[in-house]
Amino acid sequence: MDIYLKNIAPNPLIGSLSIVGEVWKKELHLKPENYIHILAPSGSGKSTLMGILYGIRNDFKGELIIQGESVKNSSQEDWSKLRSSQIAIVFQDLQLLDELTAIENIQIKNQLTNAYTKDEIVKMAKSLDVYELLDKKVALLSRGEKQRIAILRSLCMQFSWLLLDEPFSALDEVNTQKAIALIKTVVTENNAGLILSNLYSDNYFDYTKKVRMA
Amino acid sequence: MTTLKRLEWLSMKVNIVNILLQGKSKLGLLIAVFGILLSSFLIASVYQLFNDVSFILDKSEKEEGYQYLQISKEVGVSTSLGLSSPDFSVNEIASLKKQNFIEDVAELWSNDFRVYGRFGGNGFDMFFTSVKPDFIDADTDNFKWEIGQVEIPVIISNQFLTLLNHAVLPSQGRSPIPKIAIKQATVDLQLTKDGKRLRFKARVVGFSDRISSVLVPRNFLDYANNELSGNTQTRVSMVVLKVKDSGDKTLRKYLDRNDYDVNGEQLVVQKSKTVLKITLGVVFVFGFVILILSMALSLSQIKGLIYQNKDRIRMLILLGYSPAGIIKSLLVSIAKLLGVIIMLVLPFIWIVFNSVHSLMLTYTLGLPQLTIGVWLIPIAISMVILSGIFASVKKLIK
Repeated sequence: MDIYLKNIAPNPLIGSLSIVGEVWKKELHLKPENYIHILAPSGSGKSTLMGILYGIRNDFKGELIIQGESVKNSSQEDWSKLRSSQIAIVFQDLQLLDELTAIENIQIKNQLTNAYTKDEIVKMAKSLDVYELLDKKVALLSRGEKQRIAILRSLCMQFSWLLLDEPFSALDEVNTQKAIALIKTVVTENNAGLILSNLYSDNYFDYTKKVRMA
Repeated sequence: MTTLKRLEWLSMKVNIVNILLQGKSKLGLLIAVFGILLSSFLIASVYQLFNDVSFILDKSEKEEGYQYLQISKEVGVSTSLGLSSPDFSVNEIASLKKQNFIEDVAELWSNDFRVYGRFGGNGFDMFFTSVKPDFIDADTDNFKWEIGQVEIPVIISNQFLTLLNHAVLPSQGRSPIPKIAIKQATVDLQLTKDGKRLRFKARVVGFSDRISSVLVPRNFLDYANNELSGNTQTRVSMVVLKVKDSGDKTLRKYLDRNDYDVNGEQLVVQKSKTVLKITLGVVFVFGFVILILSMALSLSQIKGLIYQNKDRIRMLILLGYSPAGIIKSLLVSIAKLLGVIIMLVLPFIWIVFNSVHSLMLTYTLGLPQLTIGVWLIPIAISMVILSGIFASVKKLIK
């Protein structure tokens, strides 16, 4: 699933956009199975870009073309189809429901997509070392534990693109490697691409493209 | 939680409404459910009560604004000794017609012969009366007779039917007879006087609340009186008065002064009906106010619950749930809840009004039925609430 960004400029950032960046007010073609790294210093609009790509924000000028069609004025229903079958995401702020348990948060997504069986989810939870946390309320988990639950939840669907907004910011090296391994496996199974945004340059994946936002 | 329990959880379906309710106070929902339950019951009950009262009033006040009193002369010792007549004289009727508190007067002309009926192997004595048609509070389409016609149309008092069904038949261990069955049956009649005999059949064609008698068409009564007794001057033993206010003191005094008896304490019944009507009017106003308040409260409680879940709904949409699907899921769950409420309210109303209607039967106030409106009101209230919720969820998701 090709994604084109054509001269996109978020309304709140117009006037303060860096001319040296490779995203805003530029043309960017994201091809299937690409591993894209977005290198973005704080305040350059990294989460805004993820929001635009995920259909949460449409307060921008320019055009976002997905599967050959401009999606700027797409309905919530159209976006819900994309979010349940094409685009997966790990939000920077995780977007988990604190009052629910970890497994409930995961199951909300998996029930919608029917992506994995019970055994497969258990296996993935074990691979991220969160199996023992599944019955705990999210509010009681540490930031790192929450991040791993959010990653697991995001993978519970078939997708063409996986958006990762600072996905390992709270993970130690060991858990980061475990998460990377699982993500690689699932992305490969799906023949999907991924877009990872980060504050600094990293080598988590074999990126096919590195894009600077500022 | 053990591993096993966790695995059980994984096999469970996640219900959107359960997700939205989890960890939230259910008090608002309970208040809403109670409010809808109460308002549905209240307004449906008031509606049914109105219908019951209208049923009673309509039957006795076919002509709006007028009431009807059936009077007869008080039977005293002098009447028994034959010193005074139990019948109304021409002068007495003329005097009644002159009174300004009486709008109209109708004589109840009586038979001057013996009437003997046979039905189902039982024989019994009967009597006939006639009254001018505009005083009859029953369908008179089939209340016609022509010379040579063997079957006589008859209108009987509803009071007779009530007595038959609730006193006579039960005492004989027999089932009550519905009106429709009574209309199908015919009674063999034998009219006799001074060795003369006429045979007819009688069929009930209507029921009257106003006149406590057995009514036959006037031309038949004249014919039979003439044939059997040679008398065309029929007796008037009872009179029906059309009045504006049956509780009028002057009227009451006039009736007392002339020793006229009012049939079945109609005056008291009329007064009771007026009081009942006013009381119900007040109840209806209060009921309506409570309904509006209760619905507004219920709706705001449910809306509040939905708004508390704004973030969760947003989250579901972010995860790829369809907004229409979320609305549908919410509405289906609330509709199920409302369905349960309706299923609780309707049988309760049915039980309550069966008791009320039994009482009405006991006091010969007719045989009212539960109206379709009673069933529709709780459904209508539910639909209003559902629409309100639909509008607010839609607005929220937008």
